[in-house]
Amino acid sequence: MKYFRLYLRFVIVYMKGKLEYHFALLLELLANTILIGVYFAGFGVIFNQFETIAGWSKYEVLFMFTTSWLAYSFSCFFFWSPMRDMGELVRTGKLDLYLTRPVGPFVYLVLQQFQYTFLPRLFLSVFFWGYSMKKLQINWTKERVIFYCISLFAAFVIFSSITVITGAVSFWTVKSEEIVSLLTNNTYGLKNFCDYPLPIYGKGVQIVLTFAVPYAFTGYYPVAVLLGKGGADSYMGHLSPVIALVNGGIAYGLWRLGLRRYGSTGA
Amino acid sequence: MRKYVDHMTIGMKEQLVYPGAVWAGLFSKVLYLYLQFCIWKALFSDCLEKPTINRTDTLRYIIIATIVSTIMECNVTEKINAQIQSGNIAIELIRPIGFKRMLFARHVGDTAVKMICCTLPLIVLTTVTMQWCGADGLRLPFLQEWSAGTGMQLMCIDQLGYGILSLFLAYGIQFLYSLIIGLLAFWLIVTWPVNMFLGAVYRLLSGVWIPVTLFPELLYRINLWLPFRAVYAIPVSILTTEMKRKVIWQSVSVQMVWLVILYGFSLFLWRVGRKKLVVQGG
Repeated sequence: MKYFRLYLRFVIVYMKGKLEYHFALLLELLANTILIGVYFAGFGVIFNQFETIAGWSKYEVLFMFTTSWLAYSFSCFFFWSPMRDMGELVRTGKLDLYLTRPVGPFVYLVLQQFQYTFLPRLFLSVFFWGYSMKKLQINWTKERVIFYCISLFAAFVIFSSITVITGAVSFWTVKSEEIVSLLTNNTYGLKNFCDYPLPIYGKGVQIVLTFAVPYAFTGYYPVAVLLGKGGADSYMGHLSPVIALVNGGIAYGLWRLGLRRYGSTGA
Repeated sequence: MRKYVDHMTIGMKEQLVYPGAVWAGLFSKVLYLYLQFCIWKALFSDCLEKPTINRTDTLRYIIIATIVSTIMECNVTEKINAQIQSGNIAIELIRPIGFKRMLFARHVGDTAVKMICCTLPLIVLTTVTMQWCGADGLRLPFLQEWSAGTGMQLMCIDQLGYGILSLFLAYGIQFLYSLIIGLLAFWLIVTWPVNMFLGAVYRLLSGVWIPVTLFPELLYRINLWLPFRAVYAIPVSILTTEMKRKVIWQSVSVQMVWLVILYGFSLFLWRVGRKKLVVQGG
């Protein structure tokens, strides 16, 4: 509760700053909307010609990747910007500032910003998520709803953990931007692999996406179970919370370790 | 001429300062190529009967388009932006050297490095994996998906000459396009949202992501009148699809027309924009 009030204050301050340049703000939102909108348009163009991919219909694929995107947008809302800036903060020694605050540095980093640029992604994801759900006519029993909610939360934790890990890495190597870009770049990033069913890739890539960078647990595995898709990997769908827990643990440990290791660059 | 060659070497050096970034770039391209290939292969394997679209042509197109994208990418917009914002452009303008020509020279240097570090390895990699996977059934576990493309020739060799000519034109168009967006900074100061917006539209319409022949009728028709397809769709289809000579010449002349139009427009923006320029301090 204390943090919530703090966050509210920070958001107000942050937005006041941004609203000084309201034209730029509007443009940013518009540009992001179009960027994401074009991705969906492209998806529509592809599935205008083809009906299915790897046995998944277009609405099933849409439902799968909007599920993943929902978790991703929420996660980025809180963690993307602070973790992206970590490299810079460590390099310049500005992290010192955060160490002297009355709240923990991590909490402070997360609370002090408000990434409204992810709002268009969130809204469009919600829209197409609802749209695909309407087309699919999923039979929502109580168990399924609970399962889906848990998976969604697990996906949120997985995305957040990966983001925090990439941020924490900058305590050791000063340039973590390349890793971030390799994972989450809008065009080339590894994350894009999860917009389509996993079986279309070779075994090696499947293993990477399952165990090394477990993006597959944010959409494919749980949704495959929900829609009754996968044969052999149906039990994998129930593993999301476990994977989330493991990843969260790693992220937490790495962050603590990095913070302890941090010696300011001096200023 | 000498001074532009010097700027070219500067462009090359700029790229090589961070070798890590170059390798990361190559790695992400390999990943992306693999992603694209898998998606399109899977799409085709679900429906074999598609009279309107040719499977091999599409796969070839996707591979070549991704490879071509390594040399087409252009960061001139960001450079101009940074200079107009910081006011450094004032210094550039006093120099006894054409600003736009200098940018172009650097861009060429930049591309030369990318060609050696990105394009060539990608070409070698695709050719080798395609040959290797097919020859004796030897399959690398993580590359087994490639085997579907075996026996596939990547390019139409007898159209290679036209393809290269078209690539040169596309390269010019791409540069002018980036230059024009960059010059908009004279008016807008911050152009990254415009850049992002046009980048998104460009990604869809240029054909680097989805072959333009797959577009719905209406979108395809609209796109015929836009410059975007001149950068990827035209050169890549000349490289990968067999065409009549007449059609090739038509496509190439479309590119030439766009080159002239964009060149004229960039000159116009430059003339008018320079007068708008206000450099504070300095």
